[in-house]
Amino acid sequence: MDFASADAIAIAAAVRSQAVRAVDVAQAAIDRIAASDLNSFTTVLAESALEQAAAVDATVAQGEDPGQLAGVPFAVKDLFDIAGVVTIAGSKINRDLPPATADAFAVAALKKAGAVLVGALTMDEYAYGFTTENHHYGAVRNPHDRTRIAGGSSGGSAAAVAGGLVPISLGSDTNGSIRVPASLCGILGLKPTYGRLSRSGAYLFCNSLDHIGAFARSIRDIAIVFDLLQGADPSDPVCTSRPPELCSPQIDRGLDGLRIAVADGYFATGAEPDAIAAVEQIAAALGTVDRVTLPEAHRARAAAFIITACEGSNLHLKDLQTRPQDFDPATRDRFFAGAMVPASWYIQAQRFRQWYRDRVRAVFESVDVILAPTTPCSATQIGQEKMTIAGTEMLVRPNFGIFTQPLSFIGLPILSVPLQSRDRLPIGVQLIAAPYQEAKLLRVGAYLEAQGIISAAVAS
Amino acid sequence: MPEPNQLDVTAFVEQQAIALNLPITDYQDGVTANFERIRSIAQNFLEFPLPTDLVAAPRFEP
Repeated sequence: MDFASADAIAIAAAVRSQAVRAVDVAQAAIDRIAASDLNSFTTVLAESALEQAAAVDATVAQGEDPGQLAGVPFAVKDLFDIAGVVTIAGSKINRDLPPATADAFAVAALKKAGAVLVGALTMDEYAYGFTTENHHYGAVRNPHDRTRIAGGSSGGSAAAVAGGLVPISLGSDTNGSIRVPASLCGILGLKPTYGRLSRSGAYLFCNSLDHIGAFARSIRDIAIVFDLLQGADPSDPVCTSRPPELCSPQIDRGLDGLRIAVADGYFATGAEPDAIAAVEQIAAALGTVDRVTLPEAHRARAAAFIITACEGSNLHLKDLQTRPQDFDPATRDRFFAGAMVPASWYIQAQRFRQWYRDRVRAVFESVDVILAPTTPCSATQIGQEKMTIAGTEMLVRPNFGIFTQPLSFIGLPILSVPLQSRDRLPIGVQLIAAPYQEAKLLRVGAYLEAQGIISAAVAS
Repeated sequence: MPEPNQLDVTAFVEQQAIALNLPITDYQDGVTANFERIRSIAQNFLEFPLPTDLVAAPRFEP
């Protein structure tokens, strides 16, 4: 078995059947990470990973159930608490904090299923960015082209999966921080419905908009991770009390009964031709010619921008007052400016969120899944400050989320699926559903995967 | 100089920094540019009329 390219389900099956030892799988992952030039890890937990793996092997040897992800290596964006490790969240400042005393809810859930935590992953400072060019820890390199960005803010999470270091990882998404790096690195990224997965033990950026989610290279892996992370958690005040709805048993149900359409207007302009072509390729594969309009999406993006600036800066106000020199320069000035936003602007943005949610809910009365570009273009160069999109020059850092930001603004579940080609960099397409309809996204994703339309092979 | 009745963004940022006790002296140009960008983006929804009975949805539970 090639541990680098195998998906999580395949690894777990091999461990459970004793075809391979979890310890060997973990050691191979640690060796790959050590040899990697992607700069995707900030912390490698070799010793504890081998201990966890040995415990999995012991459980299997005793004939007991080791869990659905037995022996599967995984890693998490370094804003998730890991017991005994300082949660740095891509910052220098947080290095002064004491180590976490417990694992984050999501980390504990995956460990309980037998998965083996091998480390923490590089991110933009405090998740405020789309490029993962971190002043303190360096830029994460894209496995498809080391001179290019991996996207952000969960750049390490995407690069580690795309580069074959781990089959699954966790990230967070406030305005696109799972979907953007998934698109640029050519893998799957799931941002579930707002509040559907507990964020407890994750270092928040913007409470109104923060989600956690997963990266993987197969639909069945994304589905199993999502299923394992579901469940009520009173310690996250926005976590739903809905009972879990398992998606893994549903992914092979095909497209029957699903109404699929392409988002037009805002989502059909302002992108490079390969981003638009990717959406049309998916639409053709799904046999849809229908179009829908999400009204006032540009205002939604603007309102999300202001809410993020306000809440993010408020969270760091004390450090801005006392130690501004310790911030990443790319985030510091934005946090300062965000702290100065008039309260009425913030409240108006929150009120607009309600208005926009109601209008988009109405759209979903006539459609189940909507297609839109994930990013306006493929990965840009590391260090590149400006890019030209559809003839307009713009800054790279704030504009990779132009198509993701208006959607996470109202908490819709979204799966970014990767399109690959030999002569071009990968790029993603967003599959968007009504709240709590993740299963529909995974059904469409499984269909596209089975048809060979989308794929997420390890980048060489 | 800004026109009469036009916001002087530089002065606004300076005064806000005082009010909020934010030491921006070494970063003033970047902060001003970022606030100008935020202000420009905010116009997209500030100009949009909303019904008076539409409220935000806080999650606070007493």
